[in-house]
Amino acid sequence: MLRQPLTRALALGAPRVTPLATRRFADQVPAQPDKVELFIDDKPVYVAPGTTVLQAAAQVGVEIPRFCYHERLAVAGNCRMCLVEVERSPKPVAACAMPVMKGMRVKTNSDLTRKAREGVMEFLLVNHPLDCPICDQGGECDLQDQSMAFGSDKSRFTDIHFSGKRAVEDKDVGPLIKTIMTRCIHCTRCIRFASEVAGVDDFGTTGRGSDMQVGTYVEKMFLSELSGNIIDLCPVGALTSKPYSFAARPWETRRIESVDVLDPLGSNIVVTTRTNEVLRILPRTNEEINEEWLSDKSRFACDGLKRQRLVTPMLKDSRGNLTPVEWEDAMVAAARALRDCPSDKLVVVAGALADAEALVALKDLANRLGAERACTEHYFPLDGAGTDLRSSYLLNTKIANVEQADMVLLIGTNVRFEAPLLNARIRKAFIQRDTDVAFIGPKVDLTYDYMHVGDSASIVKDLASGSSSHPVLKRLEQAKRPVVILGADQLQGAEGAALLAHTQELALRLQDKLADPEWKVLNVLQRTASQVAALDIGYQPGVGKALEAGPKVVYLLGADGGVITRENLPKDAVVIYQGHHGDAGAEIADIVLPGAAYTEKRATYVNAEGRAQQTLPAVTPPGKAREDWKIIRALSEVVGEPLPYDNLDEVRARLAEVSPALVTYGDVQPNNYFAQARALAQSLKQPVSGKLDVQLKTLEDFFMTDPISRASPTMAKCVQAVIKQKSSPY
Amino acid sequence: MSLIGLDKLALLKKAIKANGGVFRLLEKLWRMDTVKEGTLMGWDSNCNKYYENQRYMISRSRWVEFSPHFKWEYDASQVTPEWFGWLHYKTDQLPCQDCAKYCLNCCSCSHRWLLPPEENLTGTCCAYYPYSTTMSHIGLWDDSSSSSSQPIYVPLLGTGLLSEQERLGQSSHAGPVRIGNFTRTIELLRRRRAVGRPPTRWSDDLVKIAGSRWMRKAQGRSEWRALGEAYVQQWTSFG
Repeated sequence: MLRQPLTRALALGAPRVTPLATRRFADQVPAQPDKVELFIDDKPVYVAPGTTVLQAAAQVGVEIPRFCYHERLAVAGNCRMCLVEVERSPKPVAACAMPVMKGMRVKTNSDLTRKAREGVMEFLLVNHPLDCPICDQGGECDLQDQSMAFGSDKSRFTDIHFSGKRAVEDKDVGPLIKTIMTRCIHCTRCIRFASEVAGVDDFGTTGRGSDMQVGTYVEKMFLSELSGNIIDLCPVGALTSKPYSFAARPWETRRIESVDVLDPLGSNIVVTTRTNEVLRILPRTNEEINEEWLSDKSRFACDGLKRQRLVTPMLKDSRGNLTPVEWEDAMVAAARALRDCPSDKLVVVAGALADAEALVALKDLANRLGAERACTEHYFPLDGAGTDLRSSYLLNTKIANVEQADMVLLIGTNVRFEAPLLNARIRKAFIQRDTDVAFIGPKVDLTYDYMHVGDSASIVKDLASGSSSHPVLKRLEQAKRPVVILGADQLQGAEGAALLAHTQELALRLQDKLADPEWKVLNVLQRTASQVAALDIGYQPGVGKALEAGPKVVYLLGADGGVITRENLPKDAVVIYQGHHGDAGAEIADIVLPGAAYTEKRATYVNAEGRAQQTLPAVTPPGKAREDWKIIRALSEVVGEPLPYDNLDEVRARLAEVSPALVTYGDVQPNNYFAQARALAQSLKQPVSGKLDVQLKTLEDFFMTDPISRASPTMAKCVQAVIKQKSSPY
Repeated sequence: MSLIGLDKLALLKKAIKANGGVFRLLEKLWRMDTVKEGTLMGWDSNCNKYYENQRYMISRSRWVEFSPHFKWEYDASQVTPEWFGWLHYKTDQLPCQDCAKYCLNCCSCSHRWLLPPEENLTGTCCAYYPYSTTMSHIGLWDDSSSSSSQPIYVPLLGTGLLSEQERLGQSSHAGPVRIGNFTRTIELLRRRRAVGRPPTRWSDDLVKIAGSRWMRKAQGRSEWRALGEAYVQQWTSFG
């Protein structure tokens, strides 16, 4: 039988959504009783009751070895590695599962504890293969490290004929995760992650004793957008990365701390490189954004950085083919096009992966040439407050605070695929704080239960005006910490302005009633990593108006979203494309200027909350590609309108001039102009009638959304594997 | 006469006569830093002249006068291989007197693989630079077929395409490529490496000496040693 982890049964007990009336609100927690005192190795420590011995020991800096325990997962207590001696206890106790008691005296380094650890380690190693030399986990393996630190110094293993060692067949769980199940030590971290965080209840154990196996029971793919995290969680080499298999050892790589740009959250990452090549991307802990998780696209799309690259400037020749040229030629051609262009016919379009430095440099250049049409690919309504008030287009609640919410209303955004780690936060709130989630839009799988309010935009209007009879309105009004998240995609159409106005009205009506004045309700979830920075710098959202004018020169800064095509440009328009991947933008270009990808430059990105973060260069740009702002700076010189900055510090000083929030790295500046935005939006409350639809509906839509992931063979394999899995009967 | 050094004057006069006048002599002195006269023993294919005069001590008694077309860029590697042995006293036979050399260079059966001698190009613009034959880890954008997902792999020499481009042209043995002619370099880059067997194998010479069943013959030690000597003889007799 497929055994479900006990914790899941406890956490997600059947009826998942209890009736509204009986729900306890998230902040109605009982008053904290006094702390209890206990002694870890004779050191006194005061902790809240309910903490475990292991957590108490961590507070005084005593590290207890563990395999199954993980701070962000439920306690399983099955590896027994954390056994410690407790005075007046007949047996050693598992520190990860033992709640503290008053006056408890814990000995983490006594003979009994050491003996217990050695025994556990011996049992684990009896059935663990000695294939460390060919194991991808070698060098970063918990079992390796802990057997060195806590294992016995001699072996009693006598089965030199290899007759009785356990062997388990490998599972196929998709193109991302390689399983070598013989190495599994049954810590069940992957099972708990899948059921608690990823919300895909596919993993479980079968059999018992030495026949116990971790797997999916029937062979199926791990259909989750967070699946890569179980590779990091696995303490041994049972689950390793398939694209990275046999590529490198951890001690021969360089690790560069950086920021992900493939979704709007700006997850913190570590880029692992060797010989000027990005080998893999790992998450970096940031409690404010991604905790220690990372979405699959951010983690595995890094092989797209080595495919379809633009490595040399190119010009279109007489036959219409792009031919490689020198930088000088391309610069002169681009400068000539810019100089000959009437200032009202020059359009600058910023794409999804553009960094703030390049954005500000390009806008400055365009403005110096007299052009005002600097725009982004994604539209945002300019009526009312438009993009003048920063709070109108940010995720004001902040990612980490979503955990504290007791009611989340999602309007036309499939958070699961647009911002997977935000969805993980909502799921965490759903599980741990009984948060209710309501959703307006098409029916999608968010990995947790939600109230589906409908898919009509008019629902938002009814909720905003308080005329709706749906129970969700009552629930919203009762909530102490409501969160309303509006997907930026819904603002594209003609009704976008009205929808935004209604959402602002709804959110601010709720916010006015809250006891907590610091709690922000209104959130707009942008789709790309560059949008917030671009709007901060003053780009106009959307290209519609710019195209109406019939541009003569179009400067695409990594604009690969497909909103600019040859069909909607005049015949004689010159398209200059600056970017790092050959994609939709480079295809229509007359002049190609090769830029650097996010792993190749030190650049500022502002995430959906408005948090400025910077990437660091992990590798050099390939071939003749250069950092983006430098290309624009050089071009400005050739055009004859030199920009007044020569190095990165000066560009950042210019960024600070535009908006100081762009250079306060790691912080979110508070935004409080909600009331003003609401007042300006009063006239926009037109009736809305459209249906809300989301672009990314299912998992196969998630993997390839930008030039990097579209160039990635791993992501292509994922899409195929998901489609194949969908057609399978399981 | 030798006591008062008049013989030196006589030699000088002889040298002036042999070199064709005072000015020619001074030009040679300027170019070669020495004045010599001797018997012209022959020319090589580079139009270098080889002289001998036994009156000079050994190691100075044979010399080469590099062809004027080398100007000031003359170099020891411009001496052709057939003259090398004579010039370095490995043999006293002139190339034209050496049957094996004669066969090697002039016969219709000369080896196909024997390239014409080439001077050392180190330090010139045509110098050879070793290059990596491993595939680059960067796949270029293939704009011609945007729909195909198959990337084109080209040896990009790591990432230093800019600084390596002229080297690439040289090292692919496709003639010199001018710096800046990037289009041509890309064409060279995109050309795939030749597949199939190389024109000669290491065993070709063995087959020539010992026949196609040379492996069998190699098992008899004495026979094989005799064949080996014959094989080596072929090379040492060239000098």
